[in-house]
Amino acid sequence: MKRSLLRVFVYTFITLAGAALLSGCNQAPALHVNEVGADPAAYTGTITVTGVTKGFSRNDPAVFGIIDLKEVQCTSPTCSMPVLPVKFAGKLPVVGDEVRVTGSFVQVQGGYLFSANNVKVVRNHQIGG
Amino acid sequence: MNLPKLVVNNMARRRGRFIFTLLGITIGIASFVTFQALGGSLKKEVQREANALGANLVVTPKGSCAYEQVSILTGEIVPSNITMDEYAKVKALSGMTTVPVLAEKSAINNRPVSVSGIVPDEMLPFKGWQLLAGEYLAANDETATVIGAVAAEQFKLQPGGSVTIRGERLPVKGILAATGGKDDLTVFLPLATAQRLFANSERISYLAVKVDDVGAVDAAVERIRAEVSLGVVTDQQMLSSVLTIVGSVNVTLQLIAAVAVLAAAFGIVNTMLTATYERKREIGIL
Repeated sequence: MKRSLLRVFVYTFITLAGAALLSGCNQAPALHVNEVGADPAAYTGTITVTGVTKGFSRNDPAVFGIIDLKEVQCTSPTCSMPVLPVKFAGKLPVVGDEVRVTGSFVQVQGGYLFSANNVKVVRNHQIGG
Repeated sequence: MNLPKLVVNNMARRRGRFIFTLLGITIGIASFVTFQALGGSLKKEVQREANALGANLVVTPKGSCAYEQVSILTGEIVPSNITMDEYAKVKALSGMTTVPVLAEKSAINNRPVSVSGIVPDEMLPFKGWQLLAGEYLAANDETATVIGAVAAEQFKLQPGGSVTIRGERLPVKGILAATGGKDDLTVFLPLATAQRLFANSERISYLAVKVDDVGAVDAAVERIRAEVSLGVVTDQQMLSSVLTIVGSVNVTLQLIAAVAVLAAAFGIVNTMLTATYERKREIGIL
């Protein structure tokens, strides 16, 4: 009885550890806003970008802007803070939410827009009130 | 029954306890060693990158924070707020060699790559680069690239091949020999071409300055500050501010390691005490 209990415990531990490792492997590495913002045309297909929600478009409520995680910590007046516009049809994040957006770049008039098919909120950074 | 026999017998009888105690010790020590090594290699990496920069002074936009100084060392995007006029003023100062850099980003095969706009004939002697294959850039407005050794290997690029930056296909003219720094992972374009492609005309990210007399670095800082309203940091100041950030990462890593070791130690003590209480009788007979 005791031995079988130990075996169950060991097998459960190994299975959980394996599952955790596999889920980590399957998760695509996220790119940063500063990496993709300078040359969005260089990225093709579906990619994942991570950033912090800075604000929303006045023209299109489904479009929100994200900035690089590094820019949230930068307090210098010279911070360039490039904003990546993201369009998403589902539930939108709130200002300060750190998000992982998955989708692709689409060309629009005057530049590129990131069309997201999935937005995952990681945590909130308490910026912008 | 003697002591070694008692130990072996108990290990065989309580295999689960033995394995988990062993695992506790192993994981505790492994995490301690790993975190210590990580912290040490972070520091070494920063020092190597600072040496590879090849400059005594770096001129940045006024008020640049430590994160931007890290970005210069790692080849990340740096705000391009320095004008060509300011560059010309610094370049005109005697007793120092000044080279401008426009630091940008692009991607090859969906993988980010650093792109640097440089003045080819000034940067070559400044950095002391050697060519591994092909030719070096000829003019400041040439539409071509030279690529660092590691990037060339990573993306299977050779002279005669091409890279697409901001939608424009640029021929690869040459491959630089490995330097051991971030230059190995960078695509270099002539400054005028980079400014045109990234719609950043007349702007640069930072100036790298090499002072002729190493003993006169402080005086050079004052002369640059008197000439232009820009931030000037010495390589030592930059190194120490970056190492401060790395230091706080190190402390975090050491704390995690300490917690892992403490947890393992308490686990072992607990197991030892339990085992001792269980064997009071056997120990008494011994």
